Amino acid sequence: MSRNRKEEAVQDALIRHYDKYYRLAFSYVHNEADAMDIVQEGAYKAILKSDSLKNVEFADTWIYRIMINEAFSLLRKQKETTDIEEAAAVHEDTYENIDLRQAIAKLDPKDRTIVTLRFFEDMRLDEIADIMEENLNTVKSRLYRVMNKLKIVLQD
Amino acid sequence: MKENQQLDNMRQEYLNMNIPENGLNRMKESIDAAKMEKRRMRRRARMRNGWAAVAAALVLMVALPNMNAEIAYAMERIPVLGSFFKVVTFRNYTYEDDSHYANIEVPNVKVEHEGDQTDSTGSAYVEAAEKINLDIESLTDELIRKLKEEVEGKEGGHFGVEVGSEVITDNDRWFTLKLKVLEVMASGYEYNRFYTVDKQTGNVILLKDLFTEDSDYINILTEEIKRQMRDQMSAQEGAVYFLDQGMGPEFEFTRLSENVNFYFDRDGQLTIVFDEYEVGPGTMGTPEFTIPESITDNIMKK
Repeated sequence: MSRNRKEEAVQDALIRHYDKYYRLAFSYVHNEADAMDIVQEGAYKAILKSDSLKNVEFADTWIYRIMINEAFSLLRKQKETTDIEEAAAVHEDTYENIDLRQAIAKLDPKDRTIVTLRFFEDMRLDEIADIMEENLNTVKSRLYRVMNKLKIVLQD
Repeated sequence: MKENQQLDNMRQEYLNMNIPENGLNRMKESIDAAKMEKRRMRRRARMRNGWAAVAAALVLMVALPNMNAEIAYAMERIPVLGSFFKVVTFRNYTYEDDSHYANIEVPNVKVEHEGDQTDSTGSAYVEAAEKINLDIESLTDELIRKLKEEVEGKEGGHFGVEVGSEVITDNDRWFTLKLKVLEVMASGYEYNRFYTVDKQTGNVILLKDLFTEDSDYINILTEEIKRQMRDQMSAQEGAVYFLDQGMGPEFEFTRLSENVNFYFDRDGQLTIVFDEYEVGPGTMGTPEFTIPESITDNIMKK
């Protein structure tokens, strides 16, 4: 597999799917500047290590992974400078009385990723597991816990 | 399937999010910068190549000092004529550091012959044993590879893996070896692989091999399991299965998979075994369902 072909595939995917990556980045940081930074950095890293992409068919998944790691990285850095009070505001109780929106914003980054990709980007759980490099069942268990906690009910 | 209205609204907002105009251009600039940097790095690498290969080999050797492979044999003889299976612990991989551990006992199925060594059942046994061993080997190799990746990786994650095995059935008709795997990252995930050999033919069997060609065994078994699940949920406090939960298709057991784990218990009854999180939350562990003979009597091959 030629190196240039991989680089091209990655570049192609980055440009074609920019909106998707931007939306996902924004869901973590809620401001345009940070979201653009995440995607910029992610794109830089993706091109830089495009050689390590094993199969051009999965460039999208591979890029998603990089973008998510970039977002997590930024969140970690930001957390280090956040109020201790804010950081401690993680409750285990049910969110019945809180707006669903707020509840989702309070989820930890991994849970938020699963909710965003599953309910907003309509991805299948096995695709999500692939992107996050976790077992399907780990993703399933997280989603289950979150849906229970937020009392999310999908009517048939 | 009609989704939750709130969620739907949030999804629309998400998809209609404003995308800043210069975002794409900034990313394109990054792409170009990365390409330049890559070319620069390649030039430097070409000069360093001689040393790199040696360094890589050394890193590999030094990074995994505790990996050791022991070959241990368990010698148990069962005095029965004909061919029979014996399971030995072929390898025991152990590893431990601050945030990783492994205890992988790799079983190996051996065939012992007594009497006529060339009968067809005997050679079928050998084939069956080889099939099983190959599958076990590829699974455990994959787990070890995963462990190495985690250990060598720069992420600070934890990873642990345990593999054990047990011969859970060994009678006139069936031989079943159970391989139990526990992978631990943030939380544990347990799953099994059951290997069953029909001693009458010496073949490794799949669930579908048990039933007649035209039987609707998947649906029949599915309905029975659902019935037992509903019974349990109404009778037992805390029993929860992914059934009638209204949580979407991922959390709703609709149809048994052809590759589901199974074995024949002490009383010769067909028992279906699910992996953790396959049909219920983690608290349910790896649930087992025994299928009464009355259900399978007229669809099983004799």
